[in-house]
Amino acid sequence: MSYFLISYFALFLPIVIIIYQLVPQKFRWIVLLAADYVFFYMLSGNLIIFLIAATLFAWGLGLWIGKVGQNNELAAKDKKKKKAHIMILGILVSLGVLLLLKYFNFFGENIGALANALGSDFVFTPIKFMVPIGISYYTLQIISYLVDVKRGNQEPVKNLAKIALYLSFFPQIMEGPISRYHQVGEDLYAGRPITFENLKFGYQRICYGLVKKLIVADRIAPLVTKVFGDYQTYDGSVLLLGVLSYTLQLYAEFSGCMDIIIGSGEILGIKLPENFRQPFFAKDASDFWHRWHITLGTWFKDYIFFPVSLAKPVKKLAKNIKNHIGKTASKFTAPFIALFCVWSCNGLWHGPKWTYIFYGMYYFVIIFVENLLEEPTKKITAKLHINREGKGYRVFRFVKLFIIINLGEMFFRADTVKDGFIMLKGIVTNFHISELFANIWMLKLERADFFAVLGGLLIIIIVGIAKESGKNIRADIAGWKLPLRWIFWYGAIFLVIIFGAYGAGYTTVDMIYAGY
Amino acid sequence: MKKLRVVVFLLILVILLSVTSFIFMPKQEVYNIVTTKEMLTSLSKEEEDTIDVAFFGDSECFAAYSPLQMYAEHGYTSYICATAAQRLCDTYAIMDEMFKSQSPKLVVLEANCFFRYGGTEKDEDDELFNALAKTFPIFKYHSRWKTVLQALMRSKYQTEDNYKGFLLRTKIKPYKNGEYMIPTDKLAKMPEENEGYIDKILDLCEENGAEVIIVSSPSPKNWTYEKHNTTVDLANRKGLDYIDYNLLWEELGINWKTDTKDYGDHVNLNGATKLTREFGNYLSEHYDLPNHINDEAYAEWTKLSLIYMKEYMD
Repeated sequence: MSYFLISYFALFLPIVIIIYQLVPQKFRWIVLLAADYVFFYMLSGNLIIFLIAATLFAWGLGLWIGKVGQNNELAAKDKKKKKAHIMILGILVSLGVLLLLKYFNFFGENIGALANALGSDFVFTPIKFMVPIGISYYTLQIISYLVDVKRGNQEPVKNLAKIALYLSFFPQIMEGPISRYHQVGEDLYAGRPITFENLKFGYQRICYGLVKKLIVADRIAPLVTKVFGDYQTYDGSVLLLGVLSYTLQLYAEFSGCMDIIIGSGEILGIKLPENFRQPFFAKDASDFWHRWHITLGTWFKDYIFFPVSLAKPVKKLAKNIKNHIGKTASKFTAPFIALFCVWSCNGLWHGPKWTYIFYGMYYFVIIFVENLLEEPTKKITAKLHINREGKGYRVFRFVKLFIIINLGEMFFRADTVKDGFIMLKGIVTNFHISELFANIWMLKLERADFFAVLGGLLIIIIVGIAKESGKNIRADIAGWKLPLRWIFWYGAIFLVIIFGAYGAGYTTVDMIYAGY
Repeated sequence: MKKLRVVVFLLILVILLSVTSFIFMPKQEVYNIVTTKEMLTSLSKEEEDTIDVAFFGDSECFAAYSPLQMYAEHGYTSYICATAAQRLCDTYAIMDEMFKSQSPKLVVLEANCFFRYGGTEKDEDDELFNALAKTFPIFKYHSRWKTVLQALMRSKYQTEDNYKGFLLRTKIKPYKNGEYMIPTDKLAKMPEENEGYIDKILDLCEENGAEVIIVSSPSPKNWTYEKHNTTVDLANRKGLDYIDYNLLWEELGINWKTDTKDYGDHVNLNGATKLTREFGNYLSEHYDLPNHINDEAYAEWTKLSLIYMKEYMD
């Protein structure tokens, strides 16, 4: 079951809502947990055992860390050390399972290829693993919980049910957002009644998510598949259309699913963290990642960037560089190493593919260069009297970032890094706009489909601009008179029903981020 | 009060779903009401009982055979009743209507549309969705907004000129990928329901005394050896004549550098001229078709074909 299917939002979710509301408050967490496990079982069957084992493991280790030194039997330093050891054990086991299930074959194949290149006759035999859905997401949640407990930012949770709820909440198990225990843990257990407001706002947000997913993302998907599949036969102009379409598809798809997920949480009174904040309005690549897949970015910041930056060996290295090379080089040492770690992990997290690793390294280079050039750019623009907040500069900034984003997504979507470069070469050296017009009706989309996508895109842009300027659209609409309000929402519902790409004749497009 | 509001909201939603379902549900088994209606309108302009051969199919058909050339070369009349992306249910609907005013001796079925779903709308695999679509057919037929839009924008598929349904295009966009008919024993899958539609069409032809022949026009983008095998199998089972020009394009003299308008998707006028000549000969030799060239009743056809030949064949 996927979140954008009618069986989810018009059957599964309403059933959960009704049962949840009918059951007394103190038992509501049982309804929620049952819904979580039923949902997970429907997706991954017996692999639910992985989730249950991970839950017990996180809960047990959290308690163990909490117990260290409770009887003052250890010195403060030893206490810290022991807690760290337990935490590291937790991280290694959780990551170990993830690495084994998702990355074993990738590393095996590459090591095999390397060994063969060096003259060895080693033959790697891949093993087919069944990967439980959501493992990339709940593993990060387990790690954040254990690290927070170790750091003392989070009390160890005694109640197993609370940890189980935190790691398996059905709306977020497939695609995130990656939440921290303190954000949702207690609310999930509280069983607060569903309010009319929550129900209304939640379903409104789900409706907007469906507009993005069904009208834009799924409608443009066949074009993307066709262009990226047959990229060698197309002119640069068609390839560019394919790349732009993929960026649109990915954004509409992922942020649309997030709307459905966060809307579902909202109905049940759970405020899940936002994962998108108008990313295309960002100032630069670094800002873009504060607005795109936010919870993954903050996770990497808190659990990789800062710990690496502040690690003793890194500090020591920075000091050495300061003494031998200079102050400026030293200043960038820690960010360089930490950013490298963050973006290697970011790339790999998306899956066992070289294109993802390349994608991570692409952003590592861009963001590091951005950091390096920040001060010089400020100085130059000041000298040239360029207003950095002026319209012209903002347009320049937008175009620059837009190119960076699309280029990144092109490599992200391409089958291999080499394919990505061939596409890039095609766009740059073999671009004929006439070829776009000659081919446009052969890209699996009819004229009507283009109209629907453009209409949906227009809605996304208008809503984005309104949100960026601080407007709360749903609250504004709620202030309208009832007939007008209802006409608006009926209009929105029928927009999805009529113009959505679903049903026979359309291949259901799986949620892209559920595969990561 | 709030609960009542939810109930009223849902009640109105149900009413709206019923109303839109009524609007979107096809009133007869026709998928594309726009192109079907357009075809019937242009067919109605033909004098009664003047068509000897009727062609059916999709764009592979209306791009490939020129009735006026066939008339000029052999003297029998024909009409291309093909529409863009024609589904077999639309083939049947157009044919049924056509037989009311025309009595063709031969019906030509272009096989490309055998491999496209032939009904109005498929059922989904999702049982829940099907149940919902049964209650509110809008969920099944919602995509018909596209045909409404098409009607609003006027179809550009059918030419305004009277070429008897043939779409004359002179544009050249070469196909460069070489031989595409790689021999195999494999069969292409035809949508399950389609054989039922084909049987209905064959019954209709039999009732109206028309013979049937199946043809495949050359198209590297659309045709494969697997599709050829499936069509041969079908033609054998139904006892029908079948010619696949995808295996004969070299004999036809098709040059893919000059004879396609869209990289091998369809032939252009160059390709259509060669194909029409060959297929026209075949029909003339194998079927008992009349020659109206000196028939006063067909003076208009003679005039149109002379203009056409002068304009495009000289």
